[in-house]
Amino acid sequence: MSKPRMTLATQRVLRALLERPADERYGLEISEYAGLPGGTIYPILARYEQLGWLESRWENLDPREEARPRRRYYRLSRDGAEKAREALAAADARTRSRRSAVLKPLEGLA
Amino acid sequence: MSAVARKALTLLFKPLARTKVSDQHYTVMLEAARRLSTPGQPVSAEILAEALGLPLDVVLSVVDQVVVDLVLDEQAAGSKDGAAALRYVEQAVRCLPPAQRARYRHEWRAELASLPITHWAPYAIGLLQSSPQLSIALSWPVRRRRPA
Repeated sequence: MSKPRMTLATQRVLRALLERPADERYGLEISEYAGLPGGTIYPILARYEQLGWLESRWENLDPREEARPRRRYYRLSRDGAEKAREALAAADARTRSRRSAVLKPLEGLA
Repeated sequence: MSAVARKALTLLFKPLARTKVSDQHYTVMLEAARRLSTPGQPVSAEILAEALGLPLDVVLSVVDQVVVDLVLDEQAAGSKDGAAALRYVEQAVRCLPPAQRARYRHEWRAELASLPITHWAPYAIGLLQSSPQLSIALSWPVRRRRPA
């Protein structure tokens, strides 16, 4: 399976998860940290879970005591954290090279 | 249990069994509804687990889920927006591949429960808007494995 496209939304989600890679976060938390509307993150989470970059599990609690349903928690797998760092570094490098190409003065005008 | 209470519980559980959240959920709720609608049939989580050959933990988790779902439905019933939000979630879930519906239904309802009820509708609309994309993402590996 090839890597999914590294869109800006994807980068934000990965950066949010990389802030504290050992911590588990549920969907709403991830969308808040990433600064994205709630629904946007689920296709991204699903893709990276299929790629094995992300792990998810149901929260361990007694729903009757807490009077709320169990949340689904996500976190980067060890391998996934490494790959996410690499993918973000590559995306940053692409952005930098695109910016420098745009800002480069035209020959003859300098 | 009085006949009236039994009837009330039957009316409560039968629609829940019909929603078929997952096969396990359906099996447990259908057996519960069948027993509740038959006078003299004892009903408890232990009896259901034994009758269905399922671990007690599984039956308890289904019953817990039903109770929590009812709490959420009750919350939503007090607000027009809340009820609409739950409908949007159901519509979003229906866009997904059948095997994934139970997981996301549960996950999204849990997210709603973490929000004030006034925020439910915008959040649920966001879920509904992105559900086709999620559906594609969930079907993606299956489609890629097909020969060209």
